[in-house]
Amino acid sequence: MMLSHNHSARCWRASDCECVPLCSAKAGKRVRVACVHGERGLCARMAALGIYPGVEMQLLCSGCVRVNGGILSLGKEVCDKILVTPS
Amino acid sequence: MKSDLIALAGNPNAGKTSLFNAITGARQHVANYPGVTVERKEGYYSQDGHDYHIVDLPGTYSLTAYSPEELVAREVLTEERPQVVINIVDASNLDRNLYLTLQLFELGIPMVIALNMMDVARARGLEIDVVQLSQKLNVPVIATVARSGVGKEALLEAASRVIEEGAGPGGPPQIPYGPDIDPVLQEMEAKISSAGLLSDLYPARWTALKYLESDEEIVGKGREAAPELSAELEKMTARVSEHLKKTLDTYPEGIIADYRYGFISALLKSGVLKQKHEADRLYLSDRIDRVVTHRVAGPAIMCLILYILYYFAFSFSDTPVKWLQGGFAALGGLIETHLSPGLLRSLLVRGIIGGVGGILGFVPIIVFIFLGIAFLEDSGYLARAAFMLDRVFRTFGLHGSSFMAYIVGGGIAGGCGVPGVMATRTLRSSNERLATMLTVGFMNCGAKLPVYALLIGAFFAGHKARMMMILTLISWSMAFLVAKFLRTTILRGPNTPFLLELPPYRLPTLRGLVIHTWERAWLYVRKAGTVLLAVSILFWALMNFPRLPASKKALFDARKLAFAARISAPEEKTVAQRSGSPAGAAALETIEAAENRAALRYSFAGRMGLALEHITRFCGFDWRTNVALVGGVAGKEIVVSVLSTAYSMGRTGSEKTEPLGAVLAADPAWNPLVAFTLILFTMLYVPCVVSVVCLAKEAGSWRWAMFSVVFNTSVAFVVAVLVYQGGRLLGIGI
Repeated sequence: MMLSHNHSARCWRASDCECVPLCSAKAGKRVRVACVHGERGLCARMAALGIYPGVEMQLLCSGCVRVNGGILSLGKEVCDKILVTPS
Repeated sequence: MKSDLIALAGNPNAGKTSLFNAITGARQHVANYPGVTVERKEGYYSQDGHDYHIVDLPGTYSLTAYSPEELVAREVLTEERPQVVINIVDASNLDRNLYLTLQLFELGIPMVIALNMMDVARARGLEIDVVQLSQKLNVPVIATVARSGVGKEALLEAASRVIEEGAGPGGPPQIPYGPDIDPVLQEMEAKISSAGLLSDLYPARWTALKYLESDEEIVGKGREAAPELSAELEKMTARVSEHLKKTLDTYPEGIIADYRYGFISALLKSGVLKQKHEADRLYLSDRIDRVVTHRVAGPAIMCLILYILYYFAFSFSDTPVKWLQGGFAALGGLIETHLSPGLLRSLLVRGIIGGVGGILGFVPIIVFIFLGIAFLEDSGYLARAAFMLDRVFRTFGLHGSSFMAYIVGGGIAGGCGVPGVMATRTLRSSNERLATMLTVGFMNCGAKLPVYALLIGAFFAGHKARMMMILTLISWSMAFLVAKFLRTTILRGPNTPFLLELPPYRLPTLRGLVIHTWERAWLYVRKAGTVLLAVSILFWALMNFPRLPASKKALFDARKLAFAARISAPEEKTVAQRSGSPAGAAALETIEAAENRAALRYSFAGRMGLALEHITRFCGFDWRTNVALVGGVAGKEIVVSVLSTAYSMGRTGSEKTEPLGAVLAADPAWNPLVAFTLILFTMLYVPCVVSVVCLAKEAGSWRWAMFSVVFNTSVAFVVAVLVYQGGRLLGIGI
């Protein structure tokens, strides 16, 4: 059994778009992750929790996002590493 | 007959523990996995004459190598090979919960899915087609509501059917990872399976995925088993990673996660999940979060909640504490009336009941604080508090989660260092965790309060509330400063990034709260019964041996005899009668008190106190204070009881004797400065024995426990000397 998978949610390169760090995005907005910087371990942990290039998320408050059905809280230094574009 | 092994796996907050409790009832026990501080919960149950052994795996979102919980979970799954995994999935949050399910599929262990919290899902307007979900994933799916036990029987039946008949034909679906990953994944899988690399533990595809994710543990094992093949696989991974970085500015983990989440959302959209309300409506939880994590309102609400917690804990525990302490006092009195004076009576009453009873007397407070904290934890608030405070704690090299340890440890006067040390388990980085553990002891735990109460009452009677406020501020400042010091010296290292799921708010169940509280309180009581019992006896012996030599004892006996002779003389008797008070008895007590003091001075503890005077005179402590502080190592409240012994109180205590506070206030050797210095020293010096034992266990080595003993005492000494000498120079409080 194969399930089709929508590929629109792929990553953009940071240089191609107007990206801002997650901490400067406005609360209540929907954003799309363009790029995640930082060491591999952190990127991998974030990916497992649902934050990876291409994913869409809703900014609930400064530092908390609803993504893939759950709410994640992120420290400032984590927010700095996530570049987003308006979705 | 050997019992079958069943593992419970699931995300944190999916209701795993509730389900585990519902299945096993009382037939469970909790231990730690060797070497790590992850709890291993095991239990048993029987069905149709068959015994099942059930392991509750730590709650995880994934099976990477980035946390001890995840490592432990996959170790149990691969090395203990359970016959079946029950995957508990939160039905109200399928997107996230099925992520772990997909990884469990890849590990190839037969599975049953418990679709839990169906009631919450329904309340949110989610309609889940259980039959379709089961068909599409090709595993049994049972709807459950763990907190009320609904669906438990059907779940266990499904599990035992899988054990007996094995997983159905076809197996679970294989997740495609797209054109960038799939070809190389297949190539790696083929190489791994033809070489049989780690094939005794893991399926080849799983190992290949872990190579692509650069999983340190698996790559390490692979290198050991087959260095050449491993090097080749690593090279393939590097090539893919480089390609992904160049073309898409991403990394294999990102792509893998993207496809897994994509697979899940496609699955749910294909008819498994229907949302009755509009999809974008804000859940109540989100709305609460808007307020609770607000920059201004958030901290205010947090203060209010903490205040309510402490108010609740202290006002409700007041009566049981009095009962318990009264009970122990009555027990002591009973022994005193039925046993003749002597060593045995002294050991029972002063050593055992005085020591252990004094500490067990605090149990009600601790139970209520634990209950309050369990409520905050289960309701989902604690995660928010940690998130809000992360910024402050980070400044001092700590982590948002350190907050909980501090609060439990006495951040607002009255906690306990032992659960405080245990609460550091939520911290991931070992350096942040150690720094928290080593500074939790500075908080004002319940055992320090009697010392504060005594000295504040005697020397700062007019400023009780202000003094407690100042002391709370001092302990937080000291903890922060020392944590910062440790994190810039011996515990240097980067801060762990703060990344935490905020669970939806939930009303905790009574059953969950009771079990949670009971587990922690029992740990405390067990320690009081073992370690503290031993230490109390040891200190009792130190304070009672060696006994006064016969010659000195004879001297006191002679004085008592002479006094008795005088008191029986007729003229003395009339004086005593005229004054209407048992002045004779009081005078006799004075002699006995002098004897007790001489005996204490002569004992090991007394000699220690005298020897320590050489150092402690710099902070104004005499030998009696020293003995009290040495005794306080067993538990800080002991400082008060030893002081009262040393100042000839307590032992001969009749109602007529002055309270210890008044005696100290009248003693020329004491003044507000000495009292304040002693308060600070008591606050900061070596944590009590139980905390130290606990710290050794949690830190995994006695080296850190010993370090905390030496380090904290040094900090306390330096602060005490500075305050005392500074105060004398400036003429404050003398």
